[in-house]
Amino acid sequence: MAEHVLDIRNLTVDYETRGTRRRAVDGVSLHVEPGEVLGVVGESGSGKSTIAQSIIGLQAPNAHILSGSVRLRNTELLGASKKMWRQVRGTRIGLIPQDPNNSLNPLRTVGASIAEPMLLHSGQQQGSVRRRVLALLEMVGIPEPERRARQYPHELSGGMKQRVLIAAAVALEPEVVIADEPTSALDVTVQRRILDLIDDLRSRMDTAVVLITHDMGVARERADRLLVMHDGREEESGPTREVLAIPKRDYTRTLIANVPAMALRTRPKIDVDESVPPLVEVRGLTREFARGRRSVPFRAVDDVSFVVPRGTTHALVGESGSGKTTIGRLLAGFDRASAGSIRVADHDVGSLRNGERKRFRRAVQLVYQNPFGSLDPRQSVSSIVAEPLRNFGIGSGAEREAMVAEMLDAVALPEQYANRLPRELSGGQRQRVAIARALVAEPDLVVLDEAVSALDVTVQAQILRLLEKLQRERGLTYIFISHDLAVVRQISDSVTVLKEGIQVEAGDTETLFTDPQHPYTQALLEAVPGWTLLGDPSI
Amino acid sequence: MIRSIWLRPSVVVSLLVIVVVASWALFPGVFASHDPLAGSPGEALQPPSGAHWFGTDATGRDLFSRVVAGSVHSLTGGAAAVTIGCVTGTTMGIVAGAVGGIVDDILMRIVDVLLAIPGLLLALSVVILLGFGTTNAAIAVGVTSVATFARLARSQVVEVRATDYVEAAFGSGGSFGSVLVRHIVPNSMAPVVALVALQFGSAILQIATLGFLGYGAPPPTPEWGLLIAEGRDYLATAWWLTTLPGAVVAAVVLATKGLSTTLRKVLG
Amino acid sequence: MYVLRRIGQAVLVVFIAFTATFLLMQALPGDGILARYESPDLGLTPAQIEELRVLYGADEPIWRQYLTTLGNFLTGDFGTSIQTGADVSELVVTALPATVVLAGTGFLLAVVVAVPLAGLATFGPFGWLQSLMRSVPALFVSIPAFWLAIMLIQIFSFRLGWVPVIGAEGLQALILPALTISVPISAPLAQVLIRSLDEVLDRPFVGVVRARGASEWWLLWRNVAKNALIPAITIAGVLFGELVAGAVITEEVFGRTGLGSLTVDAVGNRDIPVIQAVVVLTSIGFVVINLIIDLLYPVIDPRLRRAKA
Repeated sequence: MAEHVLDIRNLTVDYETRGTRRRAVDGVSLHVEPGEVLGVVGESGSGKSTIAQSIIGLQAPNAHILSGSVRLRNTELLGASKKMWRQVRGTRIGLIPQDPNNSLNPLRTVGASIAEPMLLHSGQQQGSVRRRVLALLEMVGIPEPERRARQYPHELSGGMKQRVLIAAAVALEPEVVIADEPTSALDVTVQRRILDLIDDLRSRMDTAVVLITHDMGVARERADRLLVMHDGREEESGPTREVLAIPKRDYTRTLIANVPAMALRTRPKIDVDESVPPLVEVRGLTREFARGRRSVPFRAVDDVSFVVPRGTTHALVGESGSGKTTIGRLLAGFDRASAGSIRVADHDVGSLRNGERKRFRRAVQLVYQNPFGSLDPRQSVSSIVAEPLRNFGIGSGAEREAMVAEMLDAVALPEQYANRLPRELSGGQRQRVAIARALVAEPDLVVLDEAVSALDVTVQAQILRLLEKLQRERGLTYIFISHDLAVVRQISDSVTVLKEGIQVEAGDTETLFTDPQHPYTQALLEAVPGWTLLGDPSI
Repeated sequence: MIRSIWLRPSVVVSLLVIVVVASWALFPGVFASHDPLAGSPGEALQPPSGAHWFGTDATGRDLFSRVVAGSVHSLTGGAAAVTIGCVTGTTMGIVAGAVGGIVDDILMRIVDVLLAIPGLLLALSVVILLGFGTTNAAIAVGVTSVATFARLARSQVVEVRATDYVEAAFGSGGSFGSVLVRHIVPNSMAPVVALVALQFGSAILQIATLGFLGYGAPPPTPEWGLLIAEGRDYLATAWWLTTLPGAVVAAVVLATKGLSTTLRKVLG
Repeated sequence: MYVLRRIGQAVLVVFIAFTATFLLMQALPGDGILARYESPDLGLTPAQIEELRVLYGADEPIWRQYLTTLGNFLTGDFGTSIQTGADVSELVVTALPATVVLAGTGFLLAVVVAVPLAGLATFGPFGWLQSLMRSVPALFVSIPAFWLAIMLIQIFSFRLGWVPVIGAEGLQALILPALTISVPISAPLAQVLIRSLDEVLDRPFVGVVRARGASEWWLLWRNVAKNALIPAITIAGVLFGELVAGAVITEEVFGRTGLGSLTVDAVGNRDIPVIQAVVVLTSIGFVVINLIIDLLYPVIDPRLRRAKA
């Protein structure tokens, strides 16, 4: 029988925290062949990253590998000496890390980071290392390698940094490359190019790739075979096409069904009564930030206009730096526009008087991206949800209690959670609390700023369904800010596409997604991993 | 989880030291075997023994009883100093961080000046202004920690102010005052509490230093720093006069530092 | 622009420190002249004292005295010691070298102790060794410096007889004082180094460097050390303050002459001009050190360098 490049058998890993043990990986086996991409897919806590760390021997200090074997060709790596690990890392196994922005030493030049594995392992001469660094930079698609090699990480964009890290990982042509969520910190268009690069290097060097990802779309597009992980166990594995077309396990089915990019479901068209004025009217909105005394101010938002009819959802879509979050903050009255106007119901947001500000706050609520940061860690769930009632002077003590209970019920949080602290809740539960707080004082408009982006797909799907239900029941109007086009397609009625503060395209969701006019919109749509635009998701 | 950290040997020892010294201060009569001020000349300069645990000084006073009697000066002095530093400094820091603008600028320049003058020199300057004595030494030491508390409180407030949950509280209709009291201050205080324990130890140390230099309590008060200063003349013959009181000071200060570390972990 | 603003801020701090000490001096009951000459032993008549007051300028309005003193300070004239009648600038200049030698040696010793201590605490071979090293700084800051000095004398002079109690000269006389000073300096230095090493070791790039097959030594010297240095040099100003305090205490205990003993004498005699000079000079020292650090950051950290056009 031919040796696999990498062969993991029955790997079991525990984490120990203060005396208690938790199983992170439970009897998982996998193997990869040269030139093959194995996608390890799972949600947070599924154990996929622990597997990646065990392959390269860099698990957390509190991890205990209980049993199993990790073989690289005919070398057993579990229980290898420190010296042997050092000889394997960088030469035979390369690592492409998760977050390129924090994965390069900020005080060393890009060239020095790429040269590091060669200086560590091959004893090459300075001159030849230098030539190889330049060749590698060229290979990973970085123009002007001479200049770039002398630059520091902060002078490069996120995508460039990931290219540099890839160059360092493949410098000594390792047999196996572990790509641990290599693109989750990057914008979609950049993500696509980085994945293309990894693909290209794989076929050129015949490397085996273990691609760890939470994104079923990425796995679907890039992996030859899939290993679906859940709670430290293997749910199922097999050729990508088979797993996706005929999933054997319920969990896999839910996972696939919840991936927005693969869902066929779109929103039914809402008939808007044209005679009623829209709830939100944004005209020529511009926000400039001063930078230094002499230079021209930076325009985060540049002449953006849109209207949102009552009871509908309008999405603001764009990559980082598109100005979408700035617009959200302007809408919620946390920032002042440099030019243009925002009207929400009868409030002119630019010129709120003191008394009116309070009424406006009640009418417009903001839900934040990070549910870990938007709840006061010292307040109980019920006290967090009751806060707007208290501040706006709604109801008596007993009435407030009843309203909070009703609201928690509406966001499907069990009663016993009322007295818990945020740290005792999961990410999804926290986001439910944040939504409850936003809705309890019955606002007209809710600005959802990447409100589901930090959540796992199954949780994300639950929250999206919850938002839709609440919208129907309460006639809410949403501004949905997101980088994720697949989610936007599911939840919004109309869309504004933003690029560097400028609105490049706008319209109703179905038209925009089926017939994008602007090249940027087209590029964004094409970049959504695993998404076949018009067609059948099973292909 | 929280209970187990309090049961670690180093933490138990720290707590024990603090409890013992606090009981010395509260009930000196129970622990002191002799009168701390009256000596018997016949028993002068005796080394530690069963009758005199820490030995006796040149006038035959029992050193252990003097150390026990001195604990109240150190503990109350330390507590007073920390209270002064913490209340003034934390208030300054909260106001600077919460109000911002020109108020922040002015307060922070004052803090800069307080930091620019080395602690001991600052304390000495205050002592000159107020005169020598236990209370004045405590005030002087308190003044030196104002800047530390102010800096920490300000940075905490600025950090908490920038969080999403504070913005969300404004979005929920909270007024500046209510958000400050309900969200910003409570979430800023954990490191300040840890600093209180840390500074308590430092204050005891500094008060002892001022006492040693002769600017604290006047003789024959059994103040710890003064005890060591008095023992200096007998270095060659009576090692215990300097060694043992100093070891007590070091143990107490070390215990408060240990406690501070634990507090930081628990509150962190 | 940034440099100018920082220098402006530094000058402002020194200026406020000067003003504060001046006001402190004015707030004292009576004045230095009275404190010095009122003693009945000297037998001076009130008229004679008044003459002295005029001579020292103590009878002029406060704002006038303030401007005169400020002008004098700017030209390096720190006034006259009330106690000895000597020129304060001269007293300071005479006392300074001994203190600088003492503080410098103490600082070097502290670095020699703190750096390996921090290295062992983070990269040390055994868990127990690491935790042992981590508890050393807390112990070091808890030891009263004056007591440590006495213990050193007791052990090395009286018990072992290695260093003579009286009449030690040159390097021999420097050893124990420098050792005393180094302990309270090495503790915060080691603490900050340990904390910043821990913080750097927690960053994702460290894992990436390990994944390239780097040894711990390579990691420490090529990647971690420089990153950890940045927060460590921030506390140089604080250490300067500790050095001054250390000098005061050690010079007093070991009977050395220097800026520290000058200060102690001045406090004892309420010799305000001397105190004022010492306070203003040390605040200048602190401010200058912090200024140098701020200007040094961009040299170490490329992220702070101005982008070249």
